[in-house]
Amino acid sequence: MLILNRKAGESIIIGENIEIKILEVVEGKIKIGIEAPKDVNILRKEVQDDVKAENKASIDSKMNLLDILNEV
Amino acid sequence: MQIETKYLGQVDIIEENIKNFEMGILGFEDEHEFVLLEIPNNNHFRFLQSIHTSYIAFLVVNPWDFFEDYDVEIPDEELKRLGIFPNQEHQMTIYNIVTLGDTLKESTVNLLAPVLINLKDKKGKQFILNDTVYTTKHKLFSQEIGE
Repeated sequence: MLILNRKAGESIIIGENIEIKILEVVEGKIKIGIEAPKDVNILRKEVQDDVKAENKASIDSKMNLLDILNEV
Repeated sequence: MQIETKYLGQVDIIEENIKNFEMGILGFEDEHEFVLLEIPNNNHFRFLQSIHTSYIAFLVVNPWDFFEDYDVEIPDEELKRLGIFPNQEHQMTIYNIVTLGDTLKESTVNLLAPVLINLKDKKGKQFILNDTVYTTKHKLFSQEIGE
């Protein structure tokens, strides 16, 4: 992993057209501004982790699944 | 061709119906080919079944069957990646993955990350909605008053 030190107001550039700017650091919280092309998806990692975990939980075997579905 | 499925035994599928998920499904990034299977005597649910790995089968619903007001906004760039251009939105269908509980009342649906399928080009992708109120766990029957 590349590790860089940045202060508030400083930026890093990734590739040709992504800029990540440190806007503010207050009590351990960092406010970040991101400029990127529209086709770049930006997500909080924990959101993606949450979806992965839910997908995995959803295929846990319920052998009587078809019976449960036919409750309706 | 015949495939082994998780819940329906061996099933004959038509190869043209295989949907290609270039990025897989989140958490299952190596699974790229799925089919939608109807469930006998049940119109509300379907399986999104991997054609290569029998135990990978997602139970899916048409979200609007359960959540009339479900509001999905997919950026144009994302649609283009699926091969859907402006005015071709009718080629797209949306399903959401259900996590079944011990009963249907305890079951939840993931409204945060719908599965988008381009019916014409047979391409699919799970997309995480941006700036949304939805989560991965909405009770399927949230509108109903509890006992």
